[in-house]
Amino acid sequence: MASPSKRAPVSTRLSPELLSKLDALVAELGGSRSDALRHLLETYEPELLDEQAPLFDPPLPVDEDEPAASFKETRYDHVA
Amino acid sequence: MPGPVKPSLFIDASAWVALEYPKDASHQAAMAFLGNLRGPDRRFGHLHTSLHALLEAHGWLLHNVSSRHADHLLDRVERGVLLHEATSEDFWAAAARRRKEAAESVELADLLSAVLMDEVGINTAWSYDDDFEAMGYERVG
Repeated sequence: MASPSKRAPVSTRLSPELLSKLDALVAELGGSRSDALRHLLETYEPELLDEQAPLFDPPLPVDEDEPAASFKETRYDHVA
Repeated sequence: MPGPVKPSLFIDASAWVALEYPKDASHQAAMAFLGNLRGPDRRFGHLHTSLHALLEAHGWLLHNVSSRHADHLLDRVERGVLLHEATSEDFWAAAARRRKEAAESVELADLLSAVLMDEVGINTAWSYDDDFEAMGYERVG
C-alpha cells in the first residue's frame, strides 16, 4: 500500500486519463503525488489538443474608444 | 516508436492577460505564440498554469477590462491546461527565495510559480515580464 502524499495534490484539474495514470504511479512507486506527476510528465506525451479547444479561441472584442490599460503598470492598482 | 516527450510549458498571468485583452501591448505576440502550441510540430507538450496566476489575471481583467473578458479566461483554461495549486509549504519556500536570492524586484507570485515549476521539472515560462528570466528560467512568448 502506497504511503499517502505528504502534501496537498499538486494539481486539481488533471484530465481523468492523467489522474488515473498518476494514481496508478503513486500506488506502484509510492512517494508523493508531485514526484509521480514529475515522472509522468517526463514519460507521457499528451494528446494533441483539439484545434477547436477553447484554449485557442480568439479574444472577445473591446471598445476601441476606451484607452488601453497596461497589466505591467497596473497589476495591483485594484488592491487598495 | 514515439519520440522523446516534449517539454512542459508554464503559462504566467501576463500571458493570460495578453491573450484575453486585444489592447495589451503583447497581444499580437501572444496570439501568434498560441498558434504554435498546436499541431504535430509544436515545441511543448503539457501546458501548465497556477491557481494564483489565474486569480491574478482574472482579477486584472475584471477590474480593467470587463467581467465578460475575465470569465472568457475561465472558458479558455477549462480544457488542456494543468492547474497547479500552491500549498502553504510552497508559499514559504517562495518567501525563503525572496529572502535568500537576489530577487528584490521579483514578485512573490512569480517566485511561487517558480516553486511549482521546480516541483514538476518545468524550465520554461510563457510570460511578458522579466521575472522568470531574472530567476534563471527560459522565457518564451
